[in-house]
Amino acid sequence: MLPIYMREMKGYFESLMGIGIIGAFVVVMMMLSVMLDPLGGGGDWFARGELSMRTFFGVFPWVAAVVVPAVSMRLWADDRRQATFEMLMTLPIPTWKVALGKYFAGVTFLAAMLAGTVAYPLMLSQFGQPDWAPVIGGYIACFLLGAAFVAIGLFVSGLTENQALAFFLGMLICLGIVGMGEMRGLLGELARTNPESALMLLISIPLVSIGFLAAAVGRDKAVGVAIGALAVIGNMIAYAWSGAQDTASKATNSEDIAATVETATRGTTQAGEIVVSALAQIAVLDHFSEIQRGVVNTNGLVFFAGLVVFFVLLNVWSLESRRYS
Amino acid sequence: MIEVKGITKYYGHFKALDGVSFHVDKGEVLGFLGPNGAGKSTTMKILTTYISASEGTASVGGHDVHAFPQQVRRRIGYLPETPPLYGDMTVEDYLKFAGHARGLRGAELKRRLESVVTDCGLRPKFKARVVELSKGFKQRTGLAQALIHDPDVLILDEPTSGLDPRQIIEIRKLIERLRENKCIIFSTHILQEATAVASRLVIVNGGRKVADGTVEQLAAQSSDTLVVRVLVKGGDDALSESLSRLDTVKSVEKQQGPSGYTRYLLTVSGGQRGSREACEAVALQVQSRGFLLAELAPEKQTLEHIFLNLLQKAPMPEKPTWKAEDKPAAQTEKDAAPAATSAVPDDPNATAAATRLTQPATETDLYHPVDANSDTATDMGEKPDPDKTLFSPRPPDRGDA
Repeated sequence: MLPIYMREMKGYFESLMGIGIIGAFVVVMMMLSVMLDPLGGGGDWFARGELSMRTFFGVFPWVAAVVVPAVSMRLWADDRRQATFEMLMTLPIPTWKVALGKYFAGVTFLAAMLAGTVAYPLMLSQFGQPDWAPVIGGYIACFLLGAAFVAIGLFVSGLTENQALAFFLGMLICLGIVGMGEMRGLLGELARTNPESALMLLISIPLVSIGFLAAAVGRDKAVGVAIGALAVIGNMIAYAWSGAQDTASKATNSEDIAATVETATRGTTQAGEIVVSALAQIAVLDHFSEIQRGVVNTNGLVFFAGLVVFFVLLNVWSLESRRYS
Repeated sequence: MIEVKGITKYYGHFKALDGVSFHVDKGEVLGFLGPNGAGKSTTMKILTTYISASEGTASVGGHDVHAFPQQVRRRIGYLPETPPLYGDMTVEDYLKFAGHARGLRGAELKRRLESVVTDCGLRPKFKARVVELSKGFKQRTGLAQALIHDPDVLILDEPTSGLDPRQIIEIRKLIERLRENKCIIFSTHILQEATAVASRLVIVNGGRKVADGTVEQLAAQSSDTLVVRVLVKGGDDALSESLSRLDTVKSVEKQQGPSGYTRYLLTVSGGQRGSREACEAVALQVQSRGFLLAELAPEKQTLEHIFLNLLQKAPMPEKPTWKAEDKPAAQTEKDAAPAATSAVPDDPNATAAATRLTQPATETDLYHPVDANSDTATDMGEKPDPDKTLFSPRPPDRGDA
């Protein structure tokens, strides 16, 4: 595993690409944190008279959903493009070890990216007495979420020799997962007014995603592109819908979720209930914000570890099954 | 050391390999020969566990490639068709990576590194980045990677493709040096290559094995007409007449030689033996008619002849074999099995009657006779020759599948 890890680390840091991504990430994170802060807290720092990292951790999931797939896209796709893939798959190292070597390299790079942003809290600390506990909690949450995204990116990268495709596919999945929290609020509202369409949306989203993945793994790229476009348009419609909703109606705590789940299922079938509660379970942002608030419970850790294990296994499985195609 | 039994491989519905069997022993160098798309790379990928055979078994050093891939991979050094290189690394870093990945550490790694760098002539580019290397050095780096752990079994997929003649000879010499205590399979569609290095040849075409044996054995299998070139000082039509009446001579073509000389091109039957008999008779005939024999050049039976001949004889599918979609795979396989066995000419007598491709005499210029000292390579695939139509059409490009 170690040789693979070392090799990938070289791949990251011996090219300007790696340094460039870290630099761009740090700059974007700081800029967004400063620029979006007035929107979140009601008034800017000076008017409020307080400095916080709230916006920083608030935008991280969205930025990570774009940047992490860019980091992980090369992990397998680069090898698949060259003959090195053939070499890796014929080395006396089991595929899962190769995959883990690559995964840990991606996670290390993520850690380097996060370390680069430490400049921001340090800068803020110049202006007052910061409470470091939530900052550390926030960084742990960011790392865990990012680590899950690396696993997703690793899996997607193994599906194709096209890095750009790996990036877009990874970004779509990560954005979808981050957006799920928002979606749930929307669905809750929708379920109150129109249970049937809520159920349909709930069923169609995973179907479209699965279709997209299947097409990406399969040979017919045209079908993949068509389904991909469908997924993107579907997402856009969903977000436009979400924007039209009153933001106040978003369900933000678990009582609300339970309530909306109840409303959603009242008029619909038992299957609908299962899907909605499953969606509530995989709302990544809940776990993210919990850990960020300092509630590092086993539930959250198991959730992120589960995501990582699931996608690394999926990656190994997809590479192994290639031998039989 | 390598045992392949009836392996068949489908890519989707496309049958890339059809019941190929062969074995390779220790100390043997097996030349794996066939036109592009014949199934050479597919076979090698199965042996290296990169892909899995649809049917049949293969084992390396007694380990089944499917059941014990790790044991097999440990024993194999593999050079894929494109050398597996990381462009951003230096040759040194890359070979260290390959060594590490093979479990070599410390002093042992250093020793092996020294050895392969010397063997593959990589010393001058040791610190260079792979992306800056010429094609020859890239190929050598790929070869060094395959040798770093001193494997028992070496599988080289077209190790000399794209190299210049001098580099080809270097690789050949390297294979020669390595052959002791190793078992080597290399694929090529360059015929000289196979005769120069291989102790045995396996010829595949359209996914089927069409021949297996030493060059001599294959020559014996292939009944052939050959060309004898005769240059006579003087010479006339009457000589042409009497030459054509010789036993093994089938036809005579008279050509203008250098001033005062006449050239006769004799097509003789009976292979090497017929050619020898014809030469003896021609010498007698020319002298008895009072002319001087300036040149008597029997064309050697080249591997090209044998190769083309065998491809001709093997019942070839009109188009690539596709699995019948409405039939279950097992049934299709049963149907295909007898065809596969008949594709291998077991009985030399039976094959003697088979028709041979009539080659114009001038082809001897195109295809240089096999010569162990010859530096030039005849690349069959590159020539715009009519024989190309002999080869079954290339299967649709399926990437690395």
